[in-house]
Amino acid sequence: MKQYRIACLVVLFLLVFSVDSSYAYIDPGSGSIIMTALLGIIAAAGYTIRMYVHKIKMFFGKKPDGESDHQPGANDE
Amino acid sequence: MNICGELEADTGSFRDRNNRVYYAERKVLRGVSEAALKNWSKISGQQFFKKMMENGDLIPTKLLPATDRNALTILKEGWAGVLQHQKIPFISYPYEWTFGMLKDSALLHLDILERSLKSGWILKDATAYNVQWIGTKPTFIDIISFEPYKEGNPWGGYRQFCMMFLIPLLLKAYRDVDYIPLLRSDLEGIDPVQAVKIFPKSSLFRKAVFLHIFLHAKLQMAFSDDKASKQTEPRKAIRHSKAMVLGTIQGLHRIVQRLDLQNKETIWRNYADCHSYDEDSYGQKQAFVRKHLQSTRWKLVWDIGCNTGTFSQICSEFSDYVISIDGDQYAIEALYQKQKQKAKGNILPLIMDLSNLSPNQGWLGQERKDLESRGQPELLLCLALIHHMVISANIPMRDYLGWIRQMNAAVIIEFVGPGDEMTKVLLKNKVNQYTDYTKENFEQIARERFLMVDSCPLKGGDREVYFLKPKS
Repeated sequence: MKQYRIACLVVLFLLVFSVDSSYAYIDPGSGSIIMTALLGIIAAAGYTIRMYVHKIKMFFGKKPDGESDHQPGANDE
Repeated sequence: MNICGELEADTGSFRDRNNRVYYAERKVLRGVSEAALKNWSKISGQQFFKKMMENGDLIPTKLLPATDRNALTILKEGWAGVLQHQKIPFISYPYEWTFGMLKDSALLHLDILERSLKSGWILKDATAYNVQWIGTKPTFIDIISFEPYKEGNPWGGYRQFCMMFLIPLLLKAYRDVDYIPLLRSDLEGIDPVQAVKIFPKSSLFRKAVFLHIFLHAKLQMAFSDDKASKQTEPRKAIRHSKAMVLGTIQGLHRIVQRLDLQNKETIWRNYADCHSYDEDSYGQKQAFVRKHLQSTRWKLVWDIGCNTGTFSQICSEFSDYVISIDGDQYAIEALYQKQKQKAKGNILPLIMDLSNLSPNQGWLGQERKDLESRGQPELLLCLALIHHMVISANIPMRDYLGWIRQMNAAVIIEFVGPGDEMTKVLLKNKVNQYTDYTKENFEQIARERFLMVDSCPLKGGDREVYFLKPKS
């Protein structure tokens, strides 16, 4: 599956940029940590884009539609 | 687990070694470690945290002085400090909650997480057991779960959030699979590897299913060889920026926010007016219940077999707290959604099969408690339930009344006679082995155990409602 292959490439890329682990009493699971990194990259990209769009709109004095605390990222349905 | 005199350690609070919950003199106390106390000292002064506590999103909590009698006993157990929480009126578990309740508790968890992260804090876990209810208002109870967010770290609770909140909600919303038996049998929740087997391939087009179940399961399986290879060194973790964590949480919030029950409108229409009474008889029944309710102020009432909670609402006027229980998830959902609109409700709706009540379970059978251990009612309301118990569930009438007597509470009970149309419906496809299901037999068994204070025939004598008090 194409999407899965892309995800695997992203995961390999992520593995290069790593820091030491430090977790709580629950085991977050190795696969789940990679999953959060994957989700995080997608979401952070969306979040950053939204932030700039928001700032640009504010610069021109326009109040964005449906303004809320939850600025949509890229990984919503 | 009795520690010293009146002090009792909670049997379900042991997983996080940084704290332990104790009960003393009807107070809820928490012994905390040095590290947890340090976190409390920092976070309790922060504005975002105070605000969440003020609006009830967090259970009101204070640090007890070391001179407090109960604190002294707990400190002797080796804890560095003692917190006191406001008492939850009645503990409940995710496998007793409706879809709407699980969804609202998931949203509360994500809201708290997001607000905390913006202020430099994170929740170390994401178990649904950290949310409890005051009426229909969810509140987060695990104050020790807050810890400073370290830049670069992932959200360690993601997998637990998926297993305890997201996967059960996705199963119900997209496949109409009931999560209650699954959450009740596995207290850790539903593993993505198991969930992926339930969803058909066509569900993979739904982004939430693809990412949080399918891909999550694949990655989990791909890295499960850590255990097989006996690798003991922690794997290098991936650096997560705060924006990545925040973005993930916000994405999950939007997914959960949009989830809903299938065929919701049809369900609500079916529950709009679902009793078999004419107006006169229904009025008589309500008047009888009201008459006996108003005789005193009840601390705790259980309305078992409550349906959509018409009588629970009458009870709520004369009681401090009402537990409304029914096996019909949609009836309880209807009650929850109705009660949620109220600013300060005192009704807790719960789903439970009344012939298979929540048991003691978990570690040593003490981690999650059975229904009776969580608070004894002063009044038990059992209206139009007995025919379901005796005929549908095949519970002998003597055993059913015996169980009710064990509560040692006043009882308002309705007997639905063998000639009633609803009893006939239940008997339609069954061999009638219930020849002892008669009003005379019911009254005889009831009189052996209770004082029959009052009664009132309903529906032309096909039914009768009784007010009983336990014999001493």
